[in-house]
This record gives sequence, structure tokens and C-alpha cells, in this order.
Amino acid sequence: MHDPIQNKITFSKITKTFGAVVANQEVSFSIVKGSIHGVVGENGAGKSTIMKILYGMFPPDSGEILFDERSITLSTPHDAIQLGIGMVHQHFMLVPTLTVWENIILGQEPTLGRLNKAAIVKSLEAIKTLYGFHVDLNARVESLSVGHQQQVEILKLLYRDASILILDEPTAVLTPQEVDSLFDKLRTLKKAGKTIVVVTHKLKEILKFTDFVTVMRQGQTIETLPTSTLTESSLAEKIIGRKRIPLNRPQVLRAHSPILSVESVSLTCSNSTLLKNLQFQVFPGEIVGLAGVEGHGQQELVEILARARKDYTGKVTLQGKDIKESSTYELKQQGFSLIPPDRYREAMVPTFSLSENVILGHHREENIKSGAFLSKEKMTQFARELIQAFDVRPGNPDQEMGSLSGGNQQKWVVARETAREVSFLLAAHPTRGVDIGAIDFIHQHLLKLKSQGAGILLISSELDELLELSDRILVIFQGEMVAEVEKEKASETQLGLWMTRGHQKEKCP
Amino acid sequence: MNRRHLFQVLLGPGLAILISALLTAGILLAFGESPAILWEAFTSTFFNGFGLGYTLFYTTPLILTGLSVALCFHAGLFNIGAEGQLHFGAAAIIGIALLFPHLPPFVAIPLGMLSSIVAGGVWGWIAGFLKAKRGSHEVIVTILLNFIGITFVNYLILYPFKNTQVQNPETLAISKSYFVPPLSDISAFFGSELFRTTPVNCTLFLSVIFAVICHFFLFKTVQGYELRALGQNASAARFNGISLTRNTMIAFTLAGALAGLVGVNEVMGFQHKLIEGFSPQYGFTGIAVALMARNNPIGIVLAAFLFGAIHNGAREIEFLSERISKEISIVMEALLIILIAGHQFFIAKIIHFFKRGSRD
Repeated sequence: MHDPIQNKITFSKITKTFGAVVANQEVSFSIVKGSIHGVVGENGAGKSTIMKILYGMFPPDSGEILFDERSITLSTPHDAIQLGIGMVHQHFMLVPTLTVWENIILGQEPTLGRLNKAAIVKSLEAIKTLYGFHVDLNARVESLSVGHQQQVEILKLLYRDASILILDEPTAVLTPQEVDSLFDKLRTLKKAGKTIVVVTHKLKEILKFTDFVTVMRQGQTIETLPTSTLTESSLAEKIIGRKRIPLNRPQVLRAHSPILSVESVSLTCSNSTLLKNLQFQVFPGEIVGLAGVEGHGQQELVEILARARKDYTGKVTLQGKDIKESSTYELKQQGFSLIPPDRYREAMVPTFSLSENVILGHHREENIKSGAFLSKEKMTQFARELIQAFDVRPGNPDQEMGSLSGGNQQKWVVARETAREVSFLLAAHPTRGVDIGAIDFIHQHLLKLKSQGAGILLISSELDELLELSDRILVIFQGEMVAEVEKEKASETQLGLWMTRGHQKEKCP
Repeated sequence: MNRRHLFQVLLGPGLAILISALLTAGILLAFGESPAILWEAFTSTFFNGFGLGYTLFYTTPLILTGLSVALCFHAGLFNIGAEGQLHFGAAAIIGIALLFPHLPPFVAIPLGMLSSIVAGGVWGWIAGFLKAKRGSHEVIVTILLNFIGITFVNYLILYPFKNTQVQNPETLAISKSYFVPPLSDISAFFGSELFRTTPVNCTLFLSVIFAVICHFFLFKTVQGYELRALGQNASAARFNGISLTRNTMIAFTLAGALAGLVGVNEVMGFQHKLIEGFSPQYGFTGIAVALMARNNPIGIVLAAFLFGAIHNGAREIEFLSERISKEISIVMEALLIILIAGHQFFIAKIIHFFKRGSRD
């Protein structure tokens, strides 16, 4: 397709299986030297596997990797690093209590003798100016924003003189402004001759920033093509293998009394203000979006609403009743549902089976148990119905939930939380780490709940999602509600600014 | 569970037992003792009624303490306090038996059992309460409660309940109506001499029944489900209305009750009185038992039998050898624990090596 001399990396018929699961099947594509190359696909499409093979984390069963046209064998990440291949993982590998420069040299420090800080800092400063990075080398990593932590990760690779940078879902935790700044830096690196591979499922970024795209589906490479030939919808179709169903946002008249009312809620913890005088309402049949950079009080708000913490001042009422006065079980009976922000940690028990997970929180209900015992029969029956309704795969009620893909896990959480009548749903990052097919499904489902009259508070760091689903958008910044806009009046740039800099509260008409 | 699966489950522990036996043999050799006595101890532990009787006698408390530890493990809690809890259970039986000596057996025996359950349960609950309500770490709390509990029970043995007729630090004897019949009575009924003069008694059956109950409790009941959910993922459980405080207290109370039942075996089944230092650290060995069985209640019965056998085998070794004392059991148990805990590093590698060898 391209002049073969330009290719930095070529995968040739790479196959990798894990037990009975084929993660990569004869994956073949080339990465052009000095380009930004996107690898896209749904969860479980095999894009992480192929990148981990390139980083030497596990060897392929068969196939060949060419590096600068020479065949190479990688048995450990160390081999990859030696060749100049570096990877920024989705979850950063940094030591929070060490400073930036200490983190960067970690693993490269001399085993004997003195650490020559001056020389290290000097060479790092040179790298910084060369590629336009702005990080204080002496700052502790824990004091840095996520965007800056990512810069540290990239600096780490540059310090090791990497010529290929693999970034796994680099924008998952960034604000729109941080995303732009990240890709600015990647462009600079590209100009300096570095080859950059970005694994992501965000179509907009792929289209905006990459030169070539490889689409993967079910472990196979579907196509590799220049980004300029693609549009968002054509790319999405290639990824999911079918047309996307357009969302139909139903309009529901606002009821008079709110389903959820948050009244001057504040939270302070050891002298730092986590939430400051929050005041908002959610009405039946509306989706209220809560935009904000992660760590600006959303987690605390979720915990308060989920009754996981009670050390706040102010009042939260559900259907006019203070939630402090009911038990979690009673709230669930009232139709309060919750999709927690961290699926793996807060929404599911990975070692439990699907049927054990789907009754979590409802395990005391009469239709699940018989006397003090859980009824295996009823559980399985219930699970089977939901598997069918939500198309969860593989659909075995006895399978461990931890072994499912992220998208199917999330579907299962949504299934559990919405299987019963829902009056209020708190959906925190409902589509995080979920593939396009499942995102569409979950979005449709949220809109269906809305049309059935449920009030939904949608917390998300994806502005696209908020703009697509919400009727109203609130912006939280440093624990404070800084803006409230009707969906029609909201713009991505304006929201991004509020999210990062705060704003004088606008009164909503 | 098919046969192949069962084989795979038992392969790891089986290899661990074999390796630790070989290492122990090496240690015996290093002390100038013939490793053959290991074999002799082995046969006399398993293949005669007397040895087997003692093995089963030691098995009984280890099943109970193993269950006690495992129950807490399932809830994500670490109960190091079984030692104190079982002391409490044993002392309670003495107290009740001395208070009501003239009850008929069908009242006395259940009452004795109940008192050990309640006393152990209360002592366990204290740890659960401190953890749940005050946020104290359960490991620290249970260790400290062990000191307090054991010391308090020793005080009871030496002062209020002391048998002043003898020099030994022991309590007065309980009345006959509290005696749990030894297994030798049952075999004698059938005209057999099996287990004659050994202390193994019907508490063994009781402990096996409790293992089965624990299995059903953990895997079939709503309450067991809550405990396991908490143990596997506490935040997900909390988000779904499963109370951490309530379940922590429940887990520790039940764990204490199970450990407390050890008193039945010791006091009602064997000594018929309480002697200072009666427990050769059953509570701590229970941790190893639970670990070896990976907290599976039925596996605990098997693991407890193994540790009971080691314990008894070590007694035999002491009897057979002039150079080796019974503390060799601690060495062998420790080796077992290391091998089981380091499964990935030792056993799995060996199995992997042989599997690869057979494929090539």
C-alpha cells in the first residue's frame, strides 16, 4: 500500500490465543515511520493484545513482527525498550510520592554510585524544551493533574530514547483542552521523527489527529487506511460492522415536583472543601448532565446519593423524603437505581457469577429467595430473562462476571439497575471503557427510561455523551456548581472552559 | 465436579505434602536421626486404631477453628482470635457445668454446647464490634483479645474454678451428665476395640456437621451471600445496601461461636475438666487449615485431618526418637504453609514442568 521502506513496524499474520479465546487472528498491518497511527475497535477486538505483543508483554503464537524491515523477537518489555518501543498504559505507572524526575529515571537509575541529579535534570530540561513539555521536574507526581501525569509518562519514554510511542486510551481521563494539548505534543514528536501509535475508541480524536487508521474487529484487522478518506459515520460502521442506530431523544414535559432534590449540600473533610453548597433538582422524565473534570467532587456526590457517606451538611430528598431516613434497600424499593462510576470496583463482584451479580442489592427480595435461602432456580431464571433482554454475551448465568468484556459487564450492571421500575437513576460514567455497540445500547436504554418518566442524573467526562443525552447540563468545578445551561445553549468549548476554570454561576431561566 | 477436576484440585496439596515430608526427612537426617521413623510415625498414625483415634481427636478442634477462620476470610476479615475464643468457650462449659451439676444428660449436653457457642460468640463479637464501630484493625484487636481471653481463662482455672485437691493448674471436674460419649463407646457397642483408650469423641461428628452447615450457610443463604459479597468486593456490596458494620459483627460472632465449640471436644469429650494450656495453639493452626483448604468448608475437614495427623505423628516421633521433640510438627506445618501459600512459586511450577515434560 505504501512504500515499504517507510514502514517502521509491520505485523505479519500475528495470531494469539488465550485458552479457547482467539485474541488476535492473523493480524497484519504496517505502521508508517513518522506518522500518528490510530488503532480502533470495540472492546475485545484485540487492539490491546496486538499492542501488548509489540511491547513484548507476551509472545505471539505465530506470525512475525518486522522492525525497520528486520524480523524481531520480543520476549519481555525490556527487549522492546531496548529497540526504542515505549508504551504509556491506560493506568499510569507512576509512584505518586516521588518527584517527576525521580519517576522518569525509575528503572534507569544507576545501580551503583551516586545519582547525578544535576545531569539528569539538565538532559530532561533539554528534552522538555525540544518537544514543548511544561512539567515541573521537582514537583511530586501526586500533586500533578492527570494531564501532567501523562506528560511525565511520555517524558519517561523520551528519556529512554523511544522512537515508537504506544499510547493506550490516552484521552480517557482528559478534558477537551487537555486532549488538544496532548495531540499538539504528539504532532511535535511526529515532526521530530517519532512514530506514534494511539489505541482508542474515540472516533473524533482518531479523525482529527491521526494519519492512518487500523480498524480491528473480533481479533482481526479489517482495514488499514489513511484517515483523510474517513468520516465519523463510515469509521463507526467499519468498527461495529453495521450501521449505527440514530438516537431519538424523546421530549417529556417537566413535572411540577422534582424526583430528586439536592439542597445546599456541602462536604468538608480535614479542612478541605470537597463539595460547596450544591443545589439542584432532577425532575421526572428529564436527563440532567453533570459535566466536570474527574476529581472535582463527583465521586463524593455519588457517595452521598448512594448513602455511602453521611458526613455532609444540607439535605438530599428523593420523592420528598430525606434519603438519610431510609435504608439503601428501601431506596431501591422506591425505584432508586445507581450505576456507580467505577464498574469493576463499585458495581460488581468479579468473582461472582452473572446470576449472583444480578441480584446484588435485590437479594433480600421475595422473588429471589425462599426463606433464608437464595433460590438458585429463581436467580437463574431472572438472569436468563435479562441476558436475553440485554443481549449479554456469553450468556451463561453461571459464568464469572469478571471474565466478561467491559461492555458486557456494563450492560449487566445496567440490566440489574433498571430491571425493576426506575424512578430515579444516577448514572455515573455509564459508558466508560465500553465499546460503541454497547454505548449505543446503553444510550438508547437511558432514553427509554427517560420516556418512561424516570429522572436521570448523568455524570460523565465525555462531553459528547452529555450533549447527546441531557436536557440540562450542570458544570461542577472544585466541588462547586459553576454553571447550568439548557442543552440547546451549551457548546463543547464553553463547557470545557467552565470545567477547567470555573465560572460565575449563571441563573437558568 | 468430575474426577479429572478433583484430581487437579488435590494435586497441588498432595505435592505439597510430599515435598514437606521429604524436607522433614532431610531435617531428621541432619539431626542424625533415621528418616525411617517418619514412615514409622506415618503408619502408626493412620494404620492403627490407637494412632487414628488420636489423629481424629486433634482433627476435631482444627475443623472448628479452621471453619472459624475461613468464615471470616469469606467476609474479607482475618480472625486471628480463634485461640482466645476457644478458651472462652471451654471456660463457659466449666462455669455452667459447675453451676448446674445435676441436670439430666439430654439437657446438660445441649446446654454445655450452647454455653460454649455463646461465650465464644460473645468474645468474637467484641472483635467485630471494635472493627465495625470503632474502626480498629481486626488483626490487632483479635491478637490483643487472645492475650486478654487466655489470661482471663487462666485466672478462672487457677482461682474460682480451681481444683484445690490437686497440685496441677486445673479446674474441678464436671459431672457425668455433661460427658460427650467417646467413639470407643460406640465401637464397643458393636463389639469392636477400635479407638479404645483414645480421646476421640462424638464432637468429631458435630464438627463435620458444622462444616456442612457452614457450606450451606455461605453458599446458599442470603446472609452467606452478603458475607461473601463483602469479602469479594466491599465497595460494590456497600453500594448495594449490604451493611459493612452489621455483617462484620455477624461474621466475627459466628466465627467466635465455631471456635468456642472446641471447648466441647476438650472439656465434655475428653478431660472433663479444664487444664491450663490445654490448647496446643488450635486457633493458630486453624489459620493454616483454612489457608490449605482455600476456605472451602469441606476442604477444611480434610485439611484438619492432615494437620491432626501431623500433630499426632510428631508425638509418635518424639516417642520413637531421642533426638527429636514433638515440635518437629511445627516445622512440618510451617513447610506445608510455605508450600501452599507459595503455590504459584513452587507447586504450580513443578506441575507445569512435568506437564511440559509429558507433552514433549
